[in-house]
Amino acid sequence: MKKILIAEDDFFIRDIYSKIFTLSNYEVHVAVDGADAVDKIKAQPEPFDMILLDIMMPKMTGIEVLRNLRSMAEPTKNTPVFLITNLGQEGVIEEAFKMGMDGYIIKSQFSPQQIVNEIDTYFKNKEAATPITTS
Amino acid sequence: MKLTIRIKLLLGFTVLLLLGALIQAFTFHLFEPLLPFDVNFLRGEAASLFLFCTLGLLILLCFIISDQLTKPIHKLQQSLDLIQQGKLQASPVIQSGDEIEALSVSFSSLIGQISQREHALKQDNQEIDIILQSLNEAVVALSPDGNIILFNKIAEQISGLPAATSMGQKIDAVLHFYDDQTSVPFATYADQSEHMKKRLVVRGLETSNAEGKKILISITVSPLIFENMPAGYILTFHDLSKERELEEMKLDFVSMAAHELRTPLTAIRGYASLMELQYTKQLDTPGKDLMKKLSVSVNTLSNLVDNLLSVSKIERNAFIMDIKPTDIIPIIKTSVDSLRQTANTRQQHLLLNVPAELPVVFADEFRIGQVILNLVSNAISYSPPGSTITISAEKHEGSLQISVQDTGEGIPPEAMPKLFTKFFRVTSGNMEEVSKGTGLGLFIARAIVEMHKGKIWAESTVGKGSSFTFTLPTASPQAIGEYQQDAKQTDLTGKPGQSIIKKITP
Repeated sequence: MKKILIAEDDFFIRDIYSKIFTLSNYEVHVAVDGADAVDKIKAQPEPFDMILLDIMMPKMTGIEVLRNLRSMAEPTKNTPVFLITNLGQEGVIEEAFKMGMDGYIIKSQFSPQQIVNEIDTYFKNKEAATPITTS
Repeated sequence: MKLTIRIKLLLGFTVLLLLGALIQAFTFHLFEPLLPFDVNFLRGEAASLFLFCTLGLLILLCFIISDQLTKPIHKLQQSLDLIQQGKLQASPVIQSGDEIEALSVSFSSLIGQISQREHALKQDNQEIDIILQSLNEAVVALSPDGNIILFNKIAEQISGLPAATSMGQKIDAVLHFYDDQTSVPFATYADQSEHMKKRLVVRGLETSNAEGKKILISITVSPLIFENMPAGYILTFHDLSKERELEEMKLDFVSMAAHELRTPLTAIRGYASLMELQYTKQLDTPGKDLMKKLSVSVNTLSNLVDNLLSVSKIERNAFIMDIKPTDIIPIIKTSVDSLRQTANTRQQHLLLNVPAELPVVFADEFRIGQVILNLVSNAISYSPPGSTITISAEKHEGSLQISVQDTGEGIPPEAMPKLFTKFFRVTSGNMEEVSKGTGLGLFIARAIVEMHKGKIWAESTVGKGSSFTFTLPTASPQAIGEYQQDAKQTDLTGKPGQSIIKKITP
């Protein structure tokens, strides 16, 4: 079972994402803001398999959490990260790619099921590319 | 020497006197022998005395008469001098009882009229001045060679320059106009307006005020024609900063409202789709129908919010596009495929008429996909069930032409000019089952196509159907080469090359 952290400040969106990922057999952890996300990442003995970060969050933005994560120790620093964005945040996406973001999801353009599909596809591609490390 | 009235009289009397003396001498000589008495007493000293007396009398008479004559004339002349100096006092009537009095009467009534007219003229001028000064628009009048002859209060306010120092100066020395940062001399606009033979309105210019601050203005230049001769120009301008501020506030409001709406909307959509996913099996047919209607409505609302955001971005020139060399064929295919299901529910056929290969265009894949989606879903909404919608693409000189043709009821001619404007919707159309339009789709489509330097238009025959066509300029091999060169350089400067994230079109 893949372990995923969902950092999203909006209660309902967080609720929907955790429900859909739970339904799709993920072990779901949630964070309510950027600082909480960093705490949760640090508290995990084993790094997450995936972190979903909302861009606009109180205390710390998604970008700041990403920067913080990439400066942590191995192997936590290499955790795959997808940003959850809105349409029209192209500038931020560009910046996030430079910082090693693995993908992004435009909130209004994806249904929850499509988001799960995206993440599933990401894992599938990754496993296909590096079969040895994932076993 | 001037021959004044006095000298003329003097000369006249002298001639008369001499003539009298001559006649006297002659008659004496003729009639002396016939006279019965001696006339010798009339000769000699007595005669000379008489002559001198007469002469003296005549000179006196001359002075008196000439005085009488010239005094009123002098008075008239003094009044005239005063008038010439601009002092229009009514001249006193000269009571000489003769023609001069009559002259002075008509003279003073003439002066009365002149002063009345001058008064009226002054009043008119004052009124015009008050109007000009109270206008909420800066007004500057110019002579044909561009000298300022009028500069009203608002012109002073906007430019920060006093009228007193601006008057008489060349317009270009006082006011500077900037079109997109470039300084434009006034003559450019003057020539344009003269050429058009009517007033010229230019919006969105800038002018710098006395402190060097740039102010957004719109100007109007009207050539003045007086008796078929150019008589200068009237230049009016007004400050657009307030308007722009309001416009920006409006756009900010729309964008903020849309952003605020989006979060709860995403939640509603999310819950609806979770519910569909988990509980559809447990629902009966009416329940499933309700579920479907719920998601259709939520999607419509979500599109509206996204469209509102796009519009506010278009209007504030903040619509970002990622333009690169693109093969249009897969975009057409993906967009059309994503609508096949909707078309199927209405038994409509989507017919693709696209060649196997088309030249590369510079385009933003996602946005052009949006345009095609919009045109095709409009065609679906406005065509009857069972009809065919044709999506074709073909190569033209220098451009690609993509068109979507339906066999629907067509667009009434009066609606044609408004098709691409905001919030316009053709009201008829059987759109109960598919999502209703937002009235923004074509406006956004036009903006996107125009940002690609393409054109978009519609043709329609009522009862037969409509076709919407847009063009995209094809990319020259040279331009593609340059683009690739640039892209390589950016890659070297540290951008990750493997940013291959698939975007799912909604």
